[in-house]
Amino acid sequence: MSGRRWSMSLAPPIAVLAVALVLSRFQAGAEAGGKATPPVAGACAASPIARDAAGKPKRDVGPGSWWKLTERLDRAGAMAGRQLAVGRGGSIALLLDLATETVASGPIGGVVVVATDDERRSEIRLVSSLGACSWLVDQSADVVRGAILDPGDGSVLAHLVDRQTRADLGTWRFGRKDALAEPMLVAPALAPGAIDGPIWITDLRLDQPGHLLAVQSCTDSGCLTRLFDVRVPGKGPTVLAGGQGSLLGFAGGHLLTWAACPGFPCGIQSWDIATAKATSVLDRADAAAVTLDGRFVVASTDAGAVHTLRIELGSGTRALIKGISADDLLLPVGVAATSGVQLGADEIPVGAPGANPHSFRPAAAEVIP
Amino acid sequence: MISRSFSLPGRVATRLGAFQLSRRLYRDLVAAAAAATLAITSLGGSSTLAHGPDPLLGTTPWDQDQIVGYQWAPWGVPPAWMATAIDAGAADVGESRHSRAAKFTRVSSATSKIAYGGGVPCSSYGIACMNRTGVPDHFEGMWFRPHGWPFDWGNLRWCQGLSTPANGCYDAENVALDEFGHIEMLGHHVNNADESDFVDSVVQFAARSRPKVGWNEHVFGRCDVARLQLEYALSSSADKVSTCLSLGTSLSIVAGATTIGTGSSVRVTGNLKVGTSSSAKLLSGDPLSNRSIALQRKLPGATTWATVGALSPNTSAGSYGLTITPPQTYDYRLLFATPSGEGLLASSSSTVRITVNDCAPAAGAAPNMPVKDMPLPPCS
Repeated sequence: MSGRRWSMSLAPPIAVLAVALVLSRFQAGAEAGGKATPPVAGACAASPIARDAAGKPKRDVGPGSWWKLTERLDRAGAMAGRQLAVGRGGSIALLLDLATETVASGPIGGVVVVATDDERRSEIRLVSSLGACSWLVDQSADVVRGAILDPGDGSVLAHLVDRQTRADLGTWRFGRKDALAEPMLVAPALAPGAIDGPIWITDLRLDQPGHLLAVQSCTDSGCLTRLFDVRVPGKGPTVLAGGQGSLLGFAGGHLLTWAACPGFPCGIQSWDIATAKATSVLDRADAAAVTLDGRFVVASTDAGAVHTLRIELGSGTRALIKGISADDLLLPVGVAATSGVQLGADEIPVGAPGANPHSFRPAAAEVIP
Repeated sequence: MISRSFSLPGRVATRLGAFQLSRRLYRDLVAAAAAATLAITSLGGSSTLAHGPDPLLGTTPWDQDQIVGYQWAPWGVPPAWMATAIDAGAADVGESRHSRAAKFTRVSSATSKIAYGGGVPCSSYGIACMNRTGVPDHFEGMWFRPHGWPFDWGNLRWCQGLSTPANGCYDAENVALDEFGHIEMLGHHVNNADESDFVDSVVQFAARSRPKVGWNEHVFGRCDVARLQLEYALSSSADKVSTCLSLGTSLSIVAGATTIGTGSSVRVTGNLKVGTSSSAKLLSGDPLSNRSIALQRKLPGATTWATVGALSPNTSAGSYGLTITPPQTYDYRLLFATPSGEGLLASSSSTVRITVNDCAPAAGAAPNMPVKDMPLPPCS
């Protein structure tokens, strides 16, 4: 990997130029419904990550922040790009017209991580819902396929593939505080033959303490997850192999995934990280989300009904709860997600199609007797 | 949960109704043959299912021949080329279901929605998916990722979205048929290790891109059809049973008379059905029409059977008949040979003896009275 073509530094003049180039693609747009025009996006003067006195990123800044990615289709119905909307509550802070190959994650502390590729290079940006601005973290000649914020230090963990061959290049840490340092490999590429078939998607998830990084590699028929202890570089991963679908989230010493299903309803599995064995949590669900603290999994067991099932993972206690409207869906989190909302530790994301996502606190939900 | 709890009993009732009708027909046939011998045996015996029909997805089927309407989701209306492909996939269901499975058609307003892009809830690695929640009232949705959607390996290309189809593209009609198959209640086919049987099913865990074998199949494969037939029954008794099945059959023989005078004619009828078996599911005991049934005979005490002729179809389903003029007393049986083009096993009926006399038995002397009484002298 020594031959990687990273930008050598983010010396201020270059950064300013790069930001200016990207900003040339920004555009103001109409808010959904045409009621307002969001302000023109600008370049953040500094990293938008708010830090406490000790320099640690603050997670509770910008509550209610959200993002949405919508496809822009050409007249033939092909993807021509994606539009990112970032906002707080009911208002849009900024809109960005970006390339087709764009992903977003977060927000954490009012900051959305955005990776976008223009077929020549990828950029990793931090987009602030508070400042309505964007900060370039780094660029790569390779393709950034997914990026998440490490709230422990404000760096970005990003998965890369080779631009020519689309081969897995592993997961790297960008934008450490000593920003002049080159990106650091956190999780190597999946070894050839570890999974049958080409990789379709690679998803990343960090546990709540920020110690364990889940790197899930999926073919078109199922997934394999490797768990890396990011505190111990070079330590081999714990591998969760066997029939599994997309990631749902960490829950204590477990990782929750969908079963490998053709669609929905589908089962939910809990993988014991210590034993790498899976057990069934729920036989069938239409949608599901896990609170960041891993206390609850919330599942819609009938998309046509308004009742939602809440399972307390520690005790296994199940309850039907109210509070999620019939129009709202439990939103997926991950590299293929098209929206996200800033969450407290005990919250999950919900939203209606086309509407701004919002959070839901299952612990406070009314239980149906 | 609520809609499912309402729907399930209805389906059970429907299935029980079909079974009871079959049993009633059976009893009627027995009663009508009061003067004849009725017996049922089968060769090959067990109704084992060979080669593996698709596994089941879900527990609630549609009603038989139900017409399921769908509409485009307002937030994900497909472009014309994709709309055409999805509609074609729906039409493919009707043309290749070979069963009484549900049919799908686009209507102006429906609860069942199909979307192209616009927030696809599929697994992150899926190019299309569905949610069959709501069956048998509706299905919750079907979603297709848009042309150009990026994956790790590159961008998704639908063949129909290309001006010139290129290798690596996915056939949208094929994928739509796969999704409609799931909505019927087909799970992914379990292929042989070498996937040599891939074309036995359209409903695959992973679709194949152009130009791999099976990339543009537009009809259900035989193991898709097998599962549909098991769950929804045949469209008609003359429909072929999928060769992905290997179902036992039962064949009965009924002679119009078992004792006749010399030179008299007698009609031999038979009824062919799928053998009664839990593994045959909705096909169990169903009549089978338009098959080849042979009448064989042998002299009493002999061991060699000779074919007399082929039975012709009667008007009732699964019923066949042939009128013969026995020259002397013979034992008769019917034979259904294993057909080459469908998943049925051979069966033969029990034996019935037709005695040719120059006299008539006294009234009430024999359990099987001649149907065509002739003025024969009484037997001594």
